[in-house]
This record gives sequence, C-alpha cells and structure tokens, in this order.
Amino acid sequence: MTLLSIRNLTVRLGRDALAPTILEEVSLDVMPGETLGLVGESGSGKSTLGMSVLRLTPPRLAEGTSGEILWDGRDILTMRGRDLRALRGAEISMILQDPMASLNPVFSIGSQLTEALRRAGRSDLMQAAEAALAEVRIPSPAERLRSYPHQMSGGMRQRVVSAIGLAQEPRLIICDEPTTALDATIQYQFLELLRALQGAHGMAMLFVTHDFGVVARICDRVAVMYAGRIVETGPVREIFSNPRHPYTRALLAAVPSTSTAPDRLPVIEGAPPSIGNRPGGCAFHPRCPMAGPDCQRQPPMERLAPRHEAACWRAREEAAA
Amino acid sequence: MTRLIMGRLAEALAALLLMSLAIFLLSRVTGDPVALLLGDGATAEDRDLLIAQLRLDRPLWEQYISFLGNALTGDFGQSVAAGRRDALELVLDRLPASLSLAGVALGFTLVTGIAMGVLAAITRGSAVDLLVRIVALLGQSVPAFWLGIVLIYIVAVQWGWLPTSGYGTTAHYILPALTMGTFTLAAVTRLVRASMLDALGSEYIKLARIKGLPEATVILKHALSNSLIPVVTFMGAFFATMITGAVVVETVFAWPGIGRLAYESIVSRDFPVIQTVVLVITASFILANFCVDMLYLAIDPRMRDRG
Repeated sequence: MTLLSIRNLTVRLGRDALAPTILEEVSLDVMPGETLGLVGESGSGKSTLGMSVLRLTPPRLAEGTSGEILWDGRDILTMRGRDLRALRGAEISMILQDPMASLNPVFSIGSQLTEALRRAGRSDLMQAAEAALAEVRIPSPAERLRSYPHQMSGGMRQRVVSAIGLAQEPRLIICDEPTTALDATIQYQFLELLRALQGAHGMAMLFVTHDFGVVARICDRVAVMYAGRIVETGPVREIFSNPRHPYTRALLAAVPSTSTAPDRLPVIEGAPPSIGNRPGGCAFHPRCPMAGPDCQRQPPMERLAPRHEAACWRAREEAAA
Repeated sequence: MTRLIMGRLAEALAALLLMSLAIFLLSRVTGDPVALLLGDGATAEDRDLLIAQLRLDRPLWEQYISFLGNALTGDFGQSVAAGRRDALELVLDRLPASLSLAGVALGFTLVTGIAMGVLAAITRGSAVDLLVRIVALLGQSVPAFWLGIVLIYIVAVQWGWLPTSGYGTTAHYILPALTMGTFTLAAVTRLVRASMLDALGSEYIKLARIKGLPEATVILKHALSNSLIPVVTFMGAFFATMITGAVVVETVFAWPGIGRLAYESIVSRDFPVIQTVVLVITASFILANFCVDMLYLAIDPRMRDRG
C-alpha cells in the first residue's frame, strides 16, 4: 500500500521541451507512516520535488512539469482548485525551511494557527490552538497565542510552524530542511520533537535535507539525489553500511566524524553541475573516481537487493581505492 | 507604546513651533507690512503711530513672543485685501471645501490604486498588468494643471457631462478629485504592485497556501495586509502632494478652498492671509503625519514593541 507514488516526474524551467531540467524522470514511493529522507547538495532539485507534491512551484516550473504524482490513486498534477485545496494541509502538509520568514508578521500566532484548525472543522478553536501549541512543547501556550512572530525565537517559531502543519492531521508531512536555520542544540531538540509527533500522529514524513547526520537520526529509508535525479535508494542502515553509488559513498565520506577529528574536512572534488549545464550520461561522471567510457550513457535504476536500488554502471563493483 | 505615542506627539508640537518661527521670520523679510497697510497717502506720523501700534519698534524676539501669543488665541491679524476680515476666520471658512475635496480625492486614490496594484500583481506579465503599468506611468508624468484643463475641455465642454467648474453638487467633485488624485493614484498603484509581488513571493504566503486557504484569503488577507504597510508609510507624503496640488487644482476649477485662497492672497499680496494659510496647511500636514504614525501602530505589530 503506497501512500504517495511519484512516477517519472520531470520539471523543466518552462514549457519548452529543450528548457533546462531541474528534475529528471524522478520516481519515488512513500509508504504510510514511514520517514523517507531525501538527500542531496543544494541545486540537486530536492526542494523542487517537495514543492511539486503540493503544486507550490513557481508558475514557470509548474508549466514545465510532467509525469505523475499519485495520491489515493489520483494524480495531484491534474487536480484543480477545490481538490487541491482539500489536499493541502488536510492530507499533505509541509514545514518550511526558514522559521523567521514562514509566519506572517502582521497576524498573531493564534490567528495563524486557528486558520488551519478551522479548516479541520474544529469548533473549540482557542482550546484546540492551545492544545496544538502544548503538543509542540511551547511553554505557556495560552499566552503565546496572543504573541506575534517577531516576539519569538527561531526555534519557537519553527515549533509554531510545525503545529500549523499538523493542525489538520495530515497523512504526509513534507519537511523542507526544517532544521537548517536552527542552532545545533535546538536542531537536535526539534528533530526529537518531530520524531515524537510522527509517532503520536502516525503520519508519513518526507524529510528533505543535505545532512546525513539528520538522516541517520530520523529516517527509515533514504533517497540520494544528484543533479535532478535519484541515484540511490534504500533503507538507512543498508545505505550507511553498503552504499553502492560512488556519489553516496563520497557524501558519506564527507560527513565529519567527531571520533577521528581530521586536520582537513573531507570534501568531494569538483562542484555539482549547474542547472542547464549538466553533463550527458551519468551527471556524476566528471567527479567520479570510478568513471569509465560507459558512463557517457545514463545508467538505469537497478535493483541490488529487495529494497536497495542504485543508478550506476559500477554499482556491483567495490569502491576504487 | 504610550512612550512612543507621547514621543510622536512631542515631535509634532516641536515641528509646529519651528514652523511658526519660520513663518514669522519670512513675514518680516518679505516686505514692509506698514507700507502695505497704510497705502500711498500716509504721513510719517501715521507711520510712526502704526509702528508703535503693531509693536514693530520692539526687538525681534519680543515680536515673536507676541506673535506666538496672538496665534495661540487665534489672532493672525486681518486681511489686507478682503475688507479687513479676520485672517483665521477667512481661512477657516474656506477649509471645509478643501478638506472635502482632498478627502474625496484621497479616498478615490486609495481604493482605485490598491485595487489596480493588486490586480496587476496577481496577473503579473499579462496584458492587464501591462495596461495598469502604462496607465500608472502616464499618471505620474502628467502635470495636474494640464490634466485639469484637458478634462474640462473634453468632459465638461465637448461632452457636457459634468460642470466645468464651481462647487455645490456631487458632480462638481468628480473632475477636480480626478485631477488632484491622478499623480497619487499612479504612485499608490505602483507601490502596491511592487509590494504585493514581494509579499506573494514570500514564505508566509507559501505557508498560507500549504494550509489550504482559498486563494482570495491568501491574496486579500495575507499578502495585502503586508503590502499596505509601505502605502501607509507614504500616506503622509501623498497627503502633502494633494495639499500642494490643491493650489493648482482649486484655481483651475474655481474651487472655493484654501488652495485658491492662497493663490488669490499671493496675487493681492495679502500677507496675513498667506501666513495663516501656510500655518493651517502645515498644521494639517503635521496632524496627518501623526495620524499615519498611529495607523502604523495599528497595522504593524512589530512597531508596537519599539520604544
């Protein structure tokens, strides 16, 4: 039983078939209740993927979107106004990256929260709002309802945003780098909170991040993106212990470890290609230590284990030294 | 917040005091009031008598104190031209006509400008947007006196739809209000369009859409409420544009307000009346700015926590 099924999602910068692509032929499934991490560098298209699911990409990208995003057997990409609004918030919700910018500065917390609760058909709005703030562990929630966003810290605001996201009991919540803008200690607290909330509500989570440390802490499964494509997916444990795509290996090697404390932080040589300037074949081959002549052709997604797939001609080989 | 309001009030009073000093000094350097009051046939004795009577033989600071004292009791002297009428009374008689015209013009400007700005922003890049932008650009380029004359010629003279000039019925308001408001209308439109585009691209609009709110709520509640903040900021300046525009517009349309009074009294070198008009305009301008500050506090919660 798949909850969300993305099929061959391609997003171009405009209607033109030759326009640069941001996402290419992305296919991805999210199961009920699971946490899927979507990992990649900036510009890999991971945020665009999250935005596409709620049809919130800017008009130019929306025009250049093709493929299918299936929810309950219906294609979100062909939904119209009323159906789309019924989906947003109530079925699929989202927590945005920047808590300093994602709340409206001129309305109180209570007003912004009750807007969402009202849509969920709650009648005891103020009580429900207070309970929602208490659930995301905001101290003295009754007073906080009258506060304005500028009166709260980043961590507190992100909790409010989460409360808004959860208000309508969605079955899937997309988190677009929700901890990136937070301090490290606050980050940890917030992840713990998210995990607790997910357990309590039984919802699925699509967690967009560039941080494998966050993935290890919170995700069940992970999909690695590079230059608009998914290059490897699998259970977190499997990906960490047995990564098959050279890019995944390089990313994991670049996670600083506190136990070894190297003199230099490990990096992946070269820079990710910019949109519209992606190399043909496997987009990673110019930076890949294992690249060969066949890498000029796009490798297909190949199943290596029951739940483990990778798109690399060398996926079955051991890493080059 | 109370401290903020008191601070603004003190600033307003200081501005008014400073303005009274400027007006006083200007009236002392722009000519000889005695010669003006007495006319050609006066003798040297008459002159000395009047100087003593007006206390012009006293030092300047003493004169200013008594000017201020008189002003506080509402005594701004008498009109030279209009049969020695009390200057303040003359101005206050004309004030309602000016205020009602400026009020109509400002109301028309804000409603139409905000609507056009929102329309242009949500149809960005379309023909509607282009049309609104062209109209706005023209509106800011056309001088009011020219527009007034053209409107009178076409709408009133050629088509005969509206009265050419004068004051009395609702129909009399339309052309002058249009002339007075056009520049500001264009400015409001462009301001609202730009700030709406800013707001529509913001994260909090994304969040409003994520909640599943209807598009009308997203635009008219969440985006517009933020876009109005810069409009309020500029409202004081808009009001000033209207008041200064009043001199031209009221003269073109023979509107019996203080703008035309200012023009008439300048032509007839009626200094006490000019002084009074300037002071009344300044006072209303300071009052308008004070109101803008208070409005600001009402719509932007971030302002309420300052000071």
